[in-house]
Amino acid sequence: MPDVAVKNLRKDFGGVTVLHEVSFTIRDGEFFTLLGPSGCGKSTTLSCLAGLEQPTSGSIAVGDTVLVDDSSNKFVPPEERNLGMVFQSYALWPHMTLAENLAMPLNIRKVSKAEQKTLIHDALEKVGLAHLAHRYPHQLSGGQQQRVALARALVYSPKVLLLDEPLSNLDAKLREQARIWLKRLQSELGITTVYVTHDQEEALAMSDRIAVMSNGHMLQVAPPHEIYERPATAEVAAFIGRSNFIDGTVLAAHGGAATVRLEESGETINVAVSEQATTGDLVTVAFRPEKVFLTNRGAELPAAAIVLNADIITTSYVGSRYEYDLKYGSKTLLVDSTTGGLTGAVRLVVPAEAVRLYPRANVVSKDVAELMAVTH
Amino acid sequence: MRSFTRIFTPLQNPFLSMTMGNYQRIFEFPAYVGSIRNSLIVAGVGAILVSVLAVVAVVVSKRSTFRYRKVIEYLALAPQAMPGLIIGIGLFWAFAFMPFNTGTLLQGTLWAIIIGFGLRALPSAFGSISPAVMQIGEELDNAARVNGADWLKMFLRILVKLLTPAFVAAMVLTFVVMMKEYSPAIFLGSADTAVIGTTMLELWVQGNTGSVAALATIQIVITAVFVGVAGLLMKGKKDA
Ligand SMILES: Nc1ncnc2c1ncn2[C@@H]1O[C@H](COP(=O)(O)OP(=O)(O)OP(=O)(O)O)[C@@H](O)[C@H]1O
Ligand SMILES: [Mg+2]
Repeated sequence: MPDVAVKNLRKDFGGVTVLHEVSFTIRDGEFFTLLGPSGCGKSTTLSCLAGLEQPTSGSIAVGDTVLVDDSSNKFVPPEERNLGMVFQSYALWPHMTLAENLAMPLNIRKVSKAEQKTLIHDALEKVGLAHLAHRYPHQLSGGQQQRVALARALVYSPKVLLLDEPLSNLDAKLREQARIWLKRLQSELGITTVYVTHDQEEALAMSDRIAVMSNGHMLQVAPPHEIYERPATAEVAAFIGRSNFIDGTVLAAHGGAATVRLEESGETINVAVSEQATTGDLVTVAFRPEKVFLTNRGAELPAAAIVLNADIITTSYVGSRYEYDLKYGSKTLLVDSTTGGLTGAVRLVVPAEAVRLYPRANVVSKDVAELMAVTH
Repeated sequence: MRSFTRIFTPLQNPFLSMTMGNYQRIFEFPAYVGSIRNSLIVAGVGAILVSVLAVVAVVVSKRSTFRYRKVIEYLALAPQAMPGLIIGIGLFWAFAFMPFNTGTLLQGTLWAIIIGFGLRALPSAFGSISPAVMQIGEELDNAARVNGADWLKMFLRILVKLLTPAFVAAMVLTFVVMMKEYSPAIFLGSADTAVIGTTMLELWVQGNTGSVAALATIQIVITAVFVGVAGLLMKGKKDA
């Protein structure tokens, strides 16, 4: 199975640009996830791959086969692309039994009846539903329908599998199991898969690589670990997992380090920077709540750490840990801790490697910022 | 009531002047029987043709990427706003100016009536099928396309099957509408192509109100029987 190459894909809907020149390559056999908030253009990207939407410009190729290319005016219609797709609503044809649903793509491909029978049986077997072949879709549970939809997408051995939020209609418990099952099935089949979701946990757990999207832009394409540990932009850091953000200004920069004054308190900190920072740059400092810890003021401190003075406002116990809300200047910071019962003035210790520096960005929406602001 | 009496006035108990004479008169004259037969043909053939046309128009306007799909919807709904007489006159002239005299082949035939009545019935058929199409999720079409069906195969294998109930409903509706229709026929019809509606008009002008009532009753009975049979057929299908 070949690579999928998407180049400068752009899609306008009546003058509104929904995809801005998106480019990425999906490797053979890879589980590739498009992740982003609602309306960011994930489904549109998938529809362009499937041929259900015609991109305004750009090109898509699977291996040597060009599917769309605006420069040569080429557009292969969906029925000639030989891709498998599972829709968010499953889109099983209600007037056909499961077996008939699976037979449809085979009939069109003029597969012999005998061969159809084995293919349909095998595909339903794979998803554990061979015994229900003669039921109608409405006689199945949501989880079963999702598996049938997958079987139908696989029965004709497509080149690439496209999945649009296939698990979003399942309840939380079932979703977790289906996630593991789907991932295992995919790696057994070794089929190149493009998976769309807005659920970051799902994306992190299942993907070989994740493409984080926002407003029609691709912010970062990387393996899950890298996306979480080294978010490329403040927006990615905000969207994947939880992050604290503090605005600051670069006072001095030399080599791989920078001295930053934090706006909230006037405190200065030294942080490592991966990209070039210049004196005077407006920046946002980010760190994750589970990477930091709290000590009482006056306690011994590790050497290479940033220490901020803050006050505890509230504590919540969430089972596996305590979550503290700290007042830092006018901002609220979130910190995880295994020890409970801390109150009052504390030191927030941020290990140097846990801090990331981004160009100043408004990552928190205004509503949330107002909620988070400490007014007293 | 009027159809079963010789005269119908508040001054006399209608049961005293009961008669089947009004019906007799209709069934005695071949022209009147002919108009009932014509009506049945027009409504029957028309119901099928109009419903098929409506399905195609709805599907193309709502579900295809055809450039002029909005125009199709507009055209299908436009006759709603036109009086039947205008449609009749319009078609009359259209037939007159059709190339190679093809118009004269149609003018004065039942086909002309079917076209005229059909145009009148198209908007209601379109209106009754449109919500059914909207209710069928677009992902069902898309799934068929990705699975390898071109647009036509998708239409025949998925949409047609799912639209059958709506199609039957539209057919019943069109049948009823076309059964009652008469105004376009005034310009399009000839002596041989009288339908119940035009015959009624004629009888009314002659002051033969008893026969008008009798024809109206026949019209209602035919409609009721047709609706009943269609209903039974649909029910049988659902149980199967
Ligand atoms: N046919 C269309 N006409 C006009 N705008 C559209 C159309 N389809 C999508 N859009 C717009 O394009 C944007 C991206 O839509 P898309 O469906 O790709 O989002 P998404 O990332 O899949 O979101 P979700 O998670 O809600 O499914 C949205 O703002 C949407 O309103
Ligand atoms: Mg979507």
